[in-house]
Amino acid sequence: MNRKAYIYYLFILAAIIGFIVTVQLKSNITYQGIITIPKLLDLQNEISNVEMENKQLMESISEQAMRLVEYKTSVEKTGNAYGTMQNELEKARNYADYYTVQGPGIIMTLNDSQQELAEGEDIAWYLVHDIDILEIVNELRVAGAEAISINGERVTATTNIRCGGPTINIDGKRHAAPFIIRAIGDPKALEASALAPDSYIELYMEYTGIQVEIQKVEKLIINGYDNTEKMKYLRKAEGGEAS
Amino acid sequence: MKNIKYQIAVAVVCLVLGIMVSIQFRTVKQGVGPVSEYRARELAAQLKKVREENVKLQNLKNDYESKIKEFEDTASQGSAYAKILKDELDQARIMAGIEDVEGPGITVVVDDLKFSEKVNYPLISYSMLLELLNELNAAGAEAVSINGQRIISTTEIRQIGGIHININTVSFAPPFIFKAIGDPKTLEAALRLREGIAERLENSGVAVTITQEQLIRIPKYNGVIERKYAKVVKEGESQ
Repeated sequence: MNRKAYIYYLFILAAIIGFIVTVQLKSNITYQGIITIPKLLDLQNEISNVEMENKQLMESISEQAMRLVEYKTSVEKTGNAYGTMQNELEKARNYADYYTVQGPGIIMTLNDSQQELAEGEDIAWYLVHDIDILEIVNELRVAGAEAISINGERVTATTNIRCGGPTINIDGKRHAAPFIIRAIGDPKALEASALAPDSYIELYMEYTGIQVEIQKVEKLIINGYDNTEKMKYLRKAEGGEAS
Repeated sequence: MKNIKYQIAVAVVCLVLGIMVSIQFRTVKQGVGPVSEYRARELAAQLKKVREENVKLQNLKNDYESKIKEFEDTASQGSAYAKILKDELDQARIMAGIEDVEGPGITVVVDDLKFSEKVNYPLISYSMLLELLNELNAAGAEAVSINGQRIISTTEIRQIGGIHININTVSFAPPFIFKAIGDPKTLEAALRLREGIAERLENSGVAVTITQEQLIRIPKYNGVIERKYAKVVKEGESQ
């Protein structure tokens, strides 16, 4: 190789380095280097959070404006607010899941796997567990389920689902397979969420052979929550803002 | 030997170049690369705007709430019947999660602390929160909130990507602060059970702090409960 070739190589390298250094310096002037991508994402996240909250606030304000109008007309017409209060009571009891409801939705049946056990395999793999039901109920809520029951037990805010030996306790009541989960909501959305490739059923349950059957229904009935046990620790908060 | 000199020079230059390129790559990969300040300022301004709007809406909501409360309180003083009606209304609203509540209970802080700097995958998954909530319910929790979101019967806990988890459609990053009303001792004991949820979380690198409290307050559900599909079946109606 002759010397000239080396000089060319050196020249090209020097040119590249010079270019990179210039770009680097220039960027350091425009970019302050203090704001990082995670910080920016945090900002964006915060904005969408507040926007979501604002949307909810607006909905709730319009709902309350309507309620106020109802109260006013009720007092004007009948001289008292009993009628509206009665309506409010009905609504609150419905939201507290005390009432039997009906509507379209899906019925899902889960049954233990019938697959033969291979050597060294644990039978536990082939059974329906508390976690499975917990995850499925959560996914149905994501898909907009308005009312859910498991083997006839209405799922409320405080429902607990736990394995108890060969059975699963739902709010302390024993239930055995098959587990029938009923959910009222948009049947298409509910079914799609259960059958999505990344759904809990597809990811964790299908391969163990746990039998899952999903049926879309035009009209199904879900019983109200019938436990009227008094709350021992809870009371209405008086005045002030909750933190 | 001039050739060797040249070769050394080229080697040094290549080394410097290699280091520069690799530094550049690392910075980008870590996601801590600098971004345009302009974009950040724009976002900050937007955040300020939506926050101001939020305050206004919150005030408006409080106005309406106090007016309605006034109506209900006045009405409940009218007669014994009205008083019973009001009590039942409060009770039903508490159960539905649309009334602020208070009582003894525990606070549970679930945090990934500094672990997140060392591992680049989310330590806290929605399943952990789901299981923790289930344990609290099993231990007799009467009301629960996570980061101020009251848990009602339609509350979902959903992984949104990265470390973010949606609760009542609002997105949160760690720490997740649970508040539960119930018997403080029973609640803590249930979580602290051997091989229980607290131990399992700690084993996977998540910090769990449990505090028993004499009085905690749990806010009502912030959103609007929709029942578009589920209609109440009146008693005696044919099925």
